[in-house]
Amino acid sequence: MTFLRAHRTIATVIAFALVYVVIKVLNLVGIFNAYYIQLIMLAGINIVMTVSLGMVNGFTGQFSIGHAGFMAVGAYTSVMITTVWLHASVANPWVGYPVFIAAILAGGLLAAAAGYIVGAPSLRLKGDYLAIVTLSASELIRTVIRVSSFLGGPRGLGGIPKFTNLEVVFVFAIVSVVLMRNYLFSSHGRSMKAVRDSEIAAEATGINTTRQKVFVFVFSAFFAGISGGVFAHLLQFIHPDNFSFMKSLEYLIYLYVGGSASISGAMVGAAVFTVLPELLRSLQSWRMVIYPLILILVMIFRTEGIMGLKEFSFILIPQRQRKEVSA
Amino acid sequence: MGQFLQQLINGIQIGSIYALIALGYTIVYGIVRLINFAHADIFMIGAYMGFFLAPVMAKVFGGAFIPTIIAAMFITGLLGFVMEKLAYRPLRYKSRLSALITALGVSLFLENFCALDFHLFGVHLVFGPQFRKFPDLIVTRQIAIPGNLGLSIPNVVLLDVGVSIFLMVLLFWFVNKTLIGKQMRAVSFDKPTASLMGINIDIVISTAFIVGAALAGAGGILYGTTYGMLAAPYLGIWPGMKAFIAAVLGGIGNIPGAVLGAYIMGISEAFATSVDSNLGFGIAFAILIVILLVRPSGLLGKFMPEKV
Amino acid sequence: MALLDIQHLAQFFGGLRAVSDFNIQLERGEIVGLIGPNGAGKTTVFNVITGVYMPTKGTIVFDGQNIVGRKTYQITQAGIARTFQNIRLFSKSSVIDNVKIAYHFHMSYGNADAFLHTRKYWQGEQLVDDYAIDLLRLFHLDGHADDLSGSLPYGAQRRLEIARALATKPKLLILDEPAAGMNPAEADELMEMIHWLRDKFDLTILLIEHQMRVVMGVCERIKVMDFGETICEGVPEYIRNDPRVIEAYLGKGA
Repeated sequence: MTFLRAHRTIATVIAFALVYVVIKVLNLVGIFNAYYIQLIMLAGINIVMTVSLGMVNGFTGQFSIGHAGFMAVGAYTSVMITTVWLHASVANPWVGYPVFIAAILAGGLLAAAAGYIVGAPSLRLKGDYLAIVTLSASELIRTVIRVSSFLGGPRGLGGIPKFTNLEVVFVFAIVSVVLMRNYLFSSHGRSMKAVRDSEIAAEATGINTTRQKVFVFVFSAFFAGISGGVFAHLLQFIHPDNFSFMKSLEYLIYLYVGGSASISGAMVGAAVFTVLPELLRSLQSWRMVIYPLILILVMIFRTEGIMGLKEFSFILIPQRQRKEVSA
Repeated sequence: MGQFLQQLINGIQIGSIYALIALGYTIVYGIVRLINFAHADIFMIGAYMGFFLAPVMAKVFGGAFIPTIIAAMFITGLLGFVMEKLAYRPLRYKSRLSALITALGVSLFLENFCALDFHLFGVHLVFGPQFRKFPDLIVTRQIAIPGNLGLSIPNVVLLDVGVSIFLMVLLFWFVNKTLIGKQMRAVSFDKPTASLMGINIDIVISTAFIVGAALAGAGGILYGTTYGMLAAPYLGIWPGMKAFIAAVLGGIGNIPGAVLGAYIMGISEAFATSVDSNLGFGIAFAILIVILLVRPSGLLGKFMPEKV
Repeated sequence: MALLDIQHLAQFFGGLRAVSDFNIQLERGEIVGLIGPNGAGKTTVFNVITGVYMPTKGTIVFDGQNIVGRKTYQITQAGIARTFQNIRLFSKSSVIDNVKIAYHFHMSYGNADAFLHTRKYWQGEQLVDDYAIDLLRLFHLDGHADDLSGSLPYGAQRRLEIARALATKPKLLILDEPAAGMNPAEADELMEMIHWLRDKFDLTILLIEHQMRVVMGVCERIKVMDFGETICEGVPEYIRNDPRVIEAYLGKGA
């Protein structure tokens, strides 16, 4: 790594470490009580969900509206492993945490498989159909959960150990966003954006557009699945209604209002909308009336969302010096 | 045999309602290539209009059904016009994705706005999430089927099917025999050229939305009359989804296709439900999967390749 | 053996015969032109060659392989690159990214390297960046490397489209109306560029063009189409004077 790159990376790591320390201190001192910490953790989960949705909807130009379905797959899979089958517990962290991490990853993998089953046949078709397919798929997933008594059925699954804490969310969020950011700034990421800008031209430049779309869809589902696992072990109780179409719609709102053409946009949208309702407690019942209105207004007046094409500096990859003279 | 006929009749009954909704989806998609997610909520508002208007209509006109359905269609048609003008027209030349997202936003907004439940100056806003019993617009009775099968069908069935078919015939006449209908067909075929030929695109698009919305409103009234109750302002979501799948089945953008798809959907659902209620729920998805894998353009649709 | 050998190609859209019985053999290094009035079927031929349409009839053999039925991206990877009549750049990507995207299928690193930014990733990125900037330099676009491609002036966008096509390292370059919207001075530059492209990149070039000055100046051989059929074929001097060609363009009695 060149000096500039190492320099930038260290600066970013220090910055995030500082943020973490500040939060912990505020918590210790009592300014941030457990409720605020939970809010921060939810924001972290929502950030990963929104960024992963942004990979498909923002950068590959598709319209998937069933993201919560993959979250459900990850949530239920991980819970089955930690709670129902292996009875892992926080009291025994040296055994518990490895099990937790393995369970989360398993949830992600199963969600990725679901993503493949849904995506492979439907991404061949013209864009409009994907919306209805992803919506149907997520509802189908919920129905399967509801009729399966071993998954808790309509009564939900409870007694989940609280493995998720601030450290877990920090690591999980940072690692996930970094991985997706890396992919975006690679040749594959450029191809992804090419498919968004002009699928015909992308094909003409030798890109297998269907395979590209499916791959992004699958890894996006993987991150949704992992988020589901982290989410489940925070709430300690999950129910099919946690992952309804309304939930998918929330992530869509976070993404499009924040800005679907940048990772920072997804992050901003998720953070703002996670924190906002808590600040506007009195308007809770109006939340789902105001949010769609904001979405409509953003679409009409500022289609590119809050962040537009801009990225926070810590997201960007430092540019290398270009050589001046060619051979 | 009696069971079979019974389910067939159920299927045709619900299919008639699906047809009215599906026609709205397909007409709008044919004109502006937009899946109007909010269409299902117009259907819902039509049903609620029935709830609120019926007592008024009964007092003013004596009989409740016909004035109510006409008034509901008028109101939903107006709503369709306003929706297009405010939310979709500003996006007409922007990306289709933005329009789709906005449609989703409009749908969410309508559902949750109608679900609001509070009082302002003594007026109850808006519909609230509570269960409402739909007023009796007609006197229900059984009509005996001739023949010795000993069957009778409720007159509601005849009402549903009859009103639907009447409206479909009206639509058919409108699209094929009137000038504006011809203009609509031209715009759905080739919008830029149609506008170069002097057709007022704004009027055509507005008309499409109005007609589609009015049909959905009628569907809402029939729905309320048939099922007798309105559970919540989210009641449009499932019938809307099934009607949309029906439109895709028939070929999205194709008017006879929407009708065909709706009846196939209704009948399949009736038979599937009689076997198992979960199956009835899943049949819509099964149909969707099959059609997208086998013939994405739908039964009566044509494959339109993009000009390179 | 000819680089491209098309026999009895026909493309019908329902009742419309867009192309009937089209035949052509391109030898390596040739510059061949396809001309004809609007609607003659020229772009349809291009679309069939590049896999956008499946031909109703006929065979297409490229570099010894039958490419009928292959998808567009496979045909590009086999060595045929094209530009479009109405420019289709990746408008939201930068100029240099447009070129890098076309290089993607030559890229040496895979998905895992992309996620983890391994050493292979950094090496690959350096390679493609150097390659792309060198290519842009040849087209006088290196100064705009990081600008949004949609912000370039029209002529520059056309050059970028050609540069992008070259980044796929093709053997056959298909140009669809490259001189569209150009004034005579620009058209002259284009003609020089086409000769230079053929020589520098060892290409075979097939082009559709309406500006006769470009066609006559650059093509070694010309094929004339009208209503989906080939009405004439030969060297420029021969085509220029053929009565059938004159009639097709100017109508009877011209």
